[in-house]
Amino acid sequence: MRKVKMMKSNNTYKNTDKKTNKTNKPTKKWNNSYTKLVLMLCLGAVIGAAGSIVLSFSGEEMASFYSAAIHYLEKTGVFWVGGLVVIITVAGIAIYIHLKRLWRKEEESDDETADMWGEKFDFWSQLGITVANTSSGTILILGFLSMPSRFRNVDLDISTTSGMYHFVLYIALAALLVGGAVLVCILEILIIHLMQKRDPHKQGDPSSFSFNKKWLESCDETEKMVIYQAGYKAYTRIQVMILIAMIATIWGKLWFDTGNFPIVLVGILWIYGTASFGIRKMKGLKNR
Amino acid sequence: MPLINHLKEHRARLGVNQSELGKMADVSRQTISLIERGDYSPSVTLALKLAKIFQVQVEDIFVYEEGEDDEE
Repeated sequence: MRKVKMMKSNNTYKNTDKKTNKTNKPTKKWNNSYTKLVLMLCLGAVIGAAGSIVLSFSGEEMASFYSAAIHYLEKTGVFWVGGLVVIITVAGIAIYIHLKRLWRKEEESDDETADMWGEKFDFWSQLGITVANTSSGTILILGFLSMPSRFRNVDLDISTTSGMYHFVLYIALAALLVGGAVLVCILEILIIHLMQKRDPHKQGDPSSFSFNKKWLESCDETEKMVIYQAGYKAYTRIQVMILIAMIATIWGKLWFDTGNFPIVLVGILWIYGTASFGIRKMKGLKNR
Repeated sequence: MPLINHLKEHRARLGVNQSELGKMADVSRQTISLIERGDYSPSVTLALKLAKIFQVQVEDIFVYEEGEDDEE
């Protein structure tokens, strides 16, 4: 039988220390994990206790500050949303014009500078899409926070000055909400179409529900790797944010009477995100 | 990274930019750029495609050099 020569490999999983020739005991790592867990539990208890002490002295002030802030937003929200829509419109147009200029420069340039313009185009196109995505969320949040919690408590009688003012205010707010959401969608579609013109391999209709799937399928290996890495990082960070949101909603229930609904909502998002990731991973391992 | 590549030299010899090479290899300009910088190791398929484009062997473009610790 032919002997096969085993190649030396840069095995990072070797557990023998060459200097001392001693085997690293894996049990030390397990002990450290449990110790860290106990330490984090203690730290959480200390933070929770400190927060409770602070809120017991200043809870009333924080509750009244919260009410005052919401009241202020209900009065002036339409102007904040309007300003945000104007900023996004200007920024969106500027980014689109800049992208077209970068693409033109890339095509007109020689080797080394073409690479530089291409990198800038990739950066600015991704920035434009990120701005569009985060803007739509911001507009919706700001807009709905500016709506009164109960419309029947608001004077909407258009025969009175106050009623007419409120009526126009909330119609304008609704128009800005819808208009702003449509605007960011148009911005995102324009940028994606420009990217597809520059690189015809990119597939997918941005207005279609299957756009993400088709876009991913048309990406090459590094683009997929970048997307996967970004997705995993986003997932891990969202898990931390959900934990913070859960703590905030529990405090909100205890101190500001926000009720159970926010806790249930955050909990459902947490469970869905974790289960979704786990199931997808199991499917991925199964398909190998 | 133990993978050394001479992609940039071969691309210069062919007289194409990253975008053009990407189109020839059916990948994006970003992929070519990442490979040249050493930030990404290409798949076997892509390495073979690039070797075919340059009409050389894969080992002429990508060289695997083990670290000094492994030579002991």
